[in-house]
Amino acid sequence: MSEIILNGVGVTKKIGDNVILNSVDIEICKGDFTVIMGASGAGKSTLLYALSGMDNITSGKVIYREKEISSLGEKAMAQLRAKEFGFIFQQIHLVSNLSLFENVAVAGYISKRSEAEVRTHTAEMFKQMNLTEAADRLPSEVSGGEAQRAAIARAVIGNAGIVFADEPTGALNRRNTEEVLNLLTDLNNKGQTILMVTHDFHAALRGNRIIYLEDGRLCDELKLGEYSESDERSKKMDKWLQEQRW
Amino acid sequence: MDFITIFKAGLRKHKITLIVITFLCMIVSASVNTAAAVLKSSRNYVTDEMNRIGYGDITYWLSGCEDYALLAEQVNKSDSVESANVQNIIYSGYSMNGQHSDNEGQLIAYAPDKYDYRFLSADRKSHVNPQIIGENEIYISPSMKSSFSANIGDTITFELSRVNDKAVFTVAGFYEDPFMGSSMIDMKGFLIGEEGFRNLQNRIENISDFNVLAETGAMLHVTSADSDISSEQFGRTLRQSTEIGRYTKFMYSKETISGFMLILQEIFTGFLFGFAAILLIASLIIIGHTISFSIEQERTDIGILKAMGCTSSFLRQIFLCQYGLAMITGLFIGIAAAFPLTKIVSDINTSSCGLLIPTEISPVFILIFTILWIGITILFIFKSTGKVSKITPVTAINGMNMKKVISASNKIRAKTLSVSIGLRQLLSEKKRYIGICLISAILVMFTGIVTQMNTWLGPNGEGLMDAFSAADHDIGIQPVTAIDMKEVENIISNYDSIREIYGLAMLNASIEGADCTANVIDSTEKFHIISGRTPETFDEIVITRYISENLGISVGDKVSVESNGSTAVYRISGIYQCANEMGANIGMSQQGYERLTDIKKYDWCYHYILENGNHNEEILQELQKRFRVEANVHTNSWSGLDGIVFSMHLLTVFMYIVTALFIMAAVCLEGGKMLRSEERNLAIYKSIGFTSNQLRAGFSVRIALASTFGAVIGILFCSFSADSIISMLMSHFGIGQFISRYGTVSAVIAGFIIIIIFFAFSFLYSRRIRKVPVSVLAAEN
Repeated sequence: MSEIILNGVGVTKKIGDNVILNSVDIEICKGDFTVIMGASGAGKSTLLYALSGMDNITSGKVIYREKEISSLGEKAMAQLRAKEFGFIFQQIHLVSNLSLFENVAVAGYISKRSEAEVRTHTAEMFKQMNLTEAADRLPSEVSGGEAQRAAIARAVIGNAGIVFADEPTGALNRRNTEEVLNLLTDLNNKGQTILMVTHDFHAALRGNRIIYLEDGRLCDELKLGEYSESDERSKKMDKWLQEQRW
Repeated sequence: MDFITIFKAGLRKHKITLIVITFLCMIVSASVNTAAAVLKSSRNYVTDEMNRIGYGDITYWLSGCEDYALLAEQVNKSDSVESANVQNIIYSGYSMNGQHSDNEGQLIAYAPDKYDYRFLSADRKSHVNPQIIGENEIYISPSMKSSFSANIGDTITFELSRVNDKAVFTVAGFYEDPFMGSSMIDMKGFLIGEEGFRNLQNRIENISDFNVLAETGAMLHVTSADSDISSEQFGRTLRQSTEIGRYTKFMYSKETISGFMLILQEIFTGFLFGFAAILLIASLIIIGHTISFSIEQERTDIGILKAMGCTSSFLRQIFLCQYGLAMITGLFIGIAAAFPLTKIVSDINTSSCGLLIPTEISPVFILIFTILWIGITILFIFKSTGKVSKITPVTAINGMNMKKVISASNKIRAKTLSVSIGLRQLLSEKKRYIGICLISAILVMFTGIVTQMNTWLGPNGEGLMDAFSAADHDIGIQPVTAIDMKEVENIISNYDSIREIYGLAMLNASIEGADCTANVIDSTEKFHIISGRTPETFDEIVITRYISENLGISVGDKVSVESNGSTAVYRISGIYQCANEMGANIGMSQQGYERLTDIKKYDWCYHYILENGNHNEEILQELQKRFRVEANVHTNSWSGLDGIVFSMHLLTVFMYIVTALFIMAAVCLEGGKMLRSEERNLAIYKSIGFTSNQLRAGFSVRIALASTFGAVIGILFCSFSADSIISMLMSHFGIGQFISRYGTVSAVIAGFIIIIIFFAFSFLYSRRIRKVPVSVLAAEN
């Protein structure tokens, strides 16, 4: 069995009387590409942000690599984000007055790595992601796909233990969606742990483990195995989702 | 569309911004109204009181005359004179609380039917009814509180003769002396009962000429028959047509005395007005920026409202009402605050001015100021909201026409990450920081000028002392009888080394018929020369800028100087600095003056310049103790200087406090808008591992850098212009030239302080960055 790197125990989030997450227990294993699916308002993004420590929880625990993070102070949490967690958002959340290269490099600098090392690593990643030409451009001067690829590079520049992706293809066209998903799959194939929220069937197919969330509760789980472009995989998930009344 | 609904919603949304704008406007309004009230009330009160007590167009202080009434009669007969009234006085040296005066005091008989002086309460904060003065009681000016630490119950001892004949009085209270009550005037008037005054006159008459120290005399208040004639012309006529010159110890025109009485108020209010003007400009910059920022941030709302049928003019009226309400509320709160502030300033100044200035704010001024303020508010807000017209519903809602992001080229460095990111943001969005930059520039300019003025003034008022002295010195001693000068030197040498000694005599004279003091010196190179050169031959003199401007004479001109009935022609060799007599003085060599008449032995005051000058007070006390009645001893100071220096330092502290509050308000307004518009970027930075403190540091660095750019402009301005600006202000008070060796240093200090304040407040204010949640980036938001 793979090592569990992130563990949510009885994770509950309430806003007023409204229960958004209802005692969710979840384990994320190292190297997994876990996808959280569910209807709109099911609490998918809330669960992602609760597990990543970006949002406070009302009760329960979140444990990352045997360390409880739900009660960490701001500074310790910032260190965790800098060194262990990477984030990809639906909207292109890049700093508007930094070039794509700088957006990525800054995340490397904050993880306390040397400037030269970060610059070399960033340049290599840009080459692999076919972003070299856009490196010096501002986010407003590049396509959505290029910007989201840069956001992925930013998420992994610090050698993150886990990447949290919140609807990463939600704002992209089909071609850019495919590019981004391929990139995430490549990263996962190289051992990167990914926890992704999506309501996109094709995006969800990239995961090897699908979790279904309904009304803040974890309903079911589907194991798909390593990604391949097979009809069988697609049918299996389709059938499972129908069972979930998706 | 319902105007009230949108207006109220705007008030709710911008309440913090509007409160801060109200606060800024309140500071400006309070400063202007306080300065105007203090200035107007002071001028009116001093003039009214001088007229009420009976100061003439010129008042002569006389001595040595057998019959002053006869002299007054002679003066009265002159065609140019409307009235000449005698007020008897007694000149006498005095000591109090272990401190010996370095100038004669004047004992005045309290005769309420003729000279109805006003009395003050023990705390000097209100007027009280006329007093009956007991035989051994004395009333003093409140300025003696600061110069002699005088309190009710203290005793004052007047030296009547060399043989221990003294008159001792107990201070019964304070009175207002509109002729010489100010700290700026070293001579002091003392009010005693008529009975006591007559007794003193008798005692002095019975002391032998050899032993007598006190002297009976009189003030002669002379009013001109022709109100158009200048005091110089009037004085010249009197000197030529009467014998008044023979008995004159000194004389002052009404303008000169009111100038002395008001000098502190004028400097005080001059700075306060300048400060208010600076604050007004800075406030308008901030408010303009805030409005512009608000419109930028509310483009979508504006677009939606326009789509719902609101016109640009309707929306601009909403802005006008919101911001106008804040600015006008600030105006009225400021006016209300000016009442207690004026009272506070008046109370502070009582111990320097010697008068309890009433705290009246002119309704006419309030009305004019209110109308002007409302006019400025309407025009300014209408101009600032001009861009509302350019927003169309489609462009606003689609986010089109948004500002293009421009990135600067500074490199992002790992080692200085917060600073380099801060610099990037600053350079990428320069326009947003123009407000901070300009505010910093003008505040540095102003505080630089104030700091320079303060540095010049020095911790003990050295600047003012030098400006009022014809030549530098540490200790001055003027024998009134034969003393052993070797002993003087020995006493001084016990404390400090003597570097130089020279003699200075201040004698009565006139130049081109206008009365003045002749500063006669035996070492003419000691004069503070501004232009031209010091007198080198017996027929040369130097004049002050005041004399030059008033008489229309300049370097190279030949002028006639008269003293003690003799006249000679001199060539003006230079302009020199000496603000004594408000600048009505000339400088000449010993040989030069002796062309007119001999200088009496005891006219000379011997000035000592010491090596270190840090034991002057001890030397003064030792010499005063040893030569109690044989000589007048002084330092390069006067007893009221401490009060003036205290008031000026207090004003500086006040201005720095208000500047700090102003910066705090500016940071709240400008910084608040910036942080709101940067919320998304801040969340991004947090999501990649930045701590709130790193982001706060970056924000503060940006604000500090913007203020540094402004500070540099302010420092450059100060370095080149501060001297001339202060000179302009000071020239009104006879200080013809202001030179500070520390101009740039003062400006740099001011700049540094302003930058630190900006940094500190922006760091404190940016605490709200802690509350920016990363979850704002979530897809569900």
